[in-house]
Amino acid sequence: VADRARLDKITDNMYAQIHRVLHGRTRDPGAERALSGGESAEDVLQDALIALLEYDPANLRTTWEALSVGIARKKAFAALRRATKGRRSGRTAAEDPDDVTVVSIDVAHVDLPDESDEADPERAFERAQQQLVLLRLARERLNDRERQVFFGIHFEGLTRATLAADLGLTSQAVGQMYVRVLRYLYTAARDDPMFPTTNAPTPNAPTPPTKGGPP
Amino acid sequence: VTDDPVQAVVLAFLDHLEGLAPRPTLDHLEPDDRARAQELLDGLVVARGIDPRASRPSVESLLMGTPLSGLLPALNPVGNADVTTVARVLAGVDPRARAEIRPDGTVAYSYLDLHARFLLVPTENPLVSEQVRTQVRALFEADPDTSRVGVVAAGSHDLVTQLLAADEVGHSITTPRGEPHTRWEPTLPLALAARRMLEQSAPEWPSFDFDQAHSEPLDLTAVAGRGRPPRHRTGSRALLPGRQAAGVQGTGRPRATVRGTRRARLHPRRRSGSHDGDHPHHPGGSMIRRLHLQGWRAFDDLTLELSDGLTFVVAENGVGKTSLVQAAAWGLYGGLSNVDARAAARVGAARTRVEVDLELPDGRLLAIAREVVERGETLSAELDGGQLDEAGLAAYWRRPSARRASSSA
Repeated sequence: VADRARLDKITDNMYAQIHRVLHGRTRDPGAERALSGGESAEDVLQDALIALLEYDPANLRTTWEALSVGIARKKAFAALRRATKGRRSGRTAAEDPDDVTVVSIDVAHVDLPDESDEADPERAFERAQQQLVLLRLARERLNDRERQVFFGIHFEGLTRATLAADLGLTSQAVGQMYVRVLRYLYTAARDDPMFPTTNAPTPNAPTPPTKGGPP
Repeated sequence: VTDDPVQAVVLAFLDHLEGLAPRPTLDHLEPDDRARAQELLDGLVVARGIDPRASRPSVESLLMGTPLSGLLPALNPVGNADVTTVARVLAGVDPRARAEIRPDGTVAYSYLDLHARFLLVPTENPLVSEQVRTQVRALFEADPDTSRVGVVAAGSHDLVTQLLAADEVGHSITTPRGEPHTRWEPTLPLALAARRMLEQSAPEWPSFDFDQAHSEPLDLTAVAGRGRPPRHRTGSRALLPGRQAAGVQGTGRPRATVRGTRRARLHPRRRSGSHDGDHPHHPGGSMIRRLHLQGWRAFDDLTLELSDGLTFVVAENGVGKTSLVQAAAWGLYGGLSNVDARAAARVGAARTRVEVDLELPDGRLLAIAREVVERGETLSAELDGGQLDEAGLAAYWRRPSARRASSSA
């Protein structure tokens, strides 16, 4: 609490983690960003922040940042579970018990790869932090059209075709604009003091093999 | 199709995410490219689901009302003003405007279409340094609806604030001393700055500062006849021939809204002829006590009795608010007022005449009457039973106390 900047950073990160859990896997990007039962990401964030602040420092085995990731994700999954109670994913086998049915509001899943850094909360924190820096830079530096493309593809999961129709461009042009903007933002982010780079992947880092692989 | 392998991989990955293609592999890339591509793809996966348009509630608002609200004071260093203080001050300015602490450490202040942000700088003066300017610009760019950004000097005693508009931070002129120069709002204590901002936006807001439920539109003709104003609230259509509604309100204090106005205020106590010089209500300035117009623009014959304090003239467009003020100015200053009285003459009016009764700070009554005649204007000014001519009056305007009379007007 004494370090306000750090607390804000952690809270920002928890908010991002919660959004990822609640909305990161929905196939439909237009799905309403609210949980059934009226809970919102902000309610979950409040829960998580209180849990974090009430945590006994004596029990702390890791950094507060890493702890915050765990708490935020746990709270978000709990909220999802409450919101989807009684609903079963279409893929759930009939014999699977309900208590492992953790699904997002939209039952359909995108086949996102298993994120190898989920097991490493510190890494998860830094990666989310990187995205928050990119987000801030995008807000500050992009023009409207670039921002719409970047937000749409990068965060909201819109298809290039959807964006292209909105903007009167071709899908290819949208894709190229996205990549151009993405690289620009990463370049700008490396000069940003808030951008964590310690765990940035390097050729020598033990990067996990790409999941999924060729078909 | 592209020659850039990293771009190709990212695009292929988007295909994968959109369900169009299998997940691409990175095996064919050079180590450097591979690391770069891996970073971009990882980022894309991590970013998915973060809401780019959400603004995180502040820690303060999250903890407010929870068992942990006791932590709130510790969140902000003591001694220097903080966002909570700023939000509290702003919240007290007008109950209809909303102040809210934002996660970026600014306070959002809004009412209807007015959206302002207040940014704290840890200085004693709200100087807009280049760094502050960048911050302010970012605020305007982040939300195009932002109409003003206030730079609040956290180290100042009364939170001195510099209000800025979007076009004032875009480009600047630099003075020879190297200080940026723009035509800015005056720096004011926070509450005043917010108040000023609200009032500047007021003309577009029909209900601003006037609680319709509590104010009673005043019928000018009724005032002229010194009768009781009629008790209708919808604006008196029958006010002036061919004209629309107007109301005149006198209030006790400038800050007092019409909410507090009572009927008694609309009809000032008639002062008897004897002025004993003891006038605690307006120790510093002169007061226009009576304004009488004949054949002046929209007004055929109108007498306004004005009470202590500030008087609001409220009416729809075209009713004659400006005419009223111009009449007062011409009545007081004649040709010095730059008001063309001849042009103000009402078509078909028998005479064009303005009488102003001015109560001086010492309580004496200065009665001025001007009239447009065939070849010019006539003046009759009376003070203490003696007549003043234009020169006598002009000499009087040069006295400091009288100069304030013009601002009272």
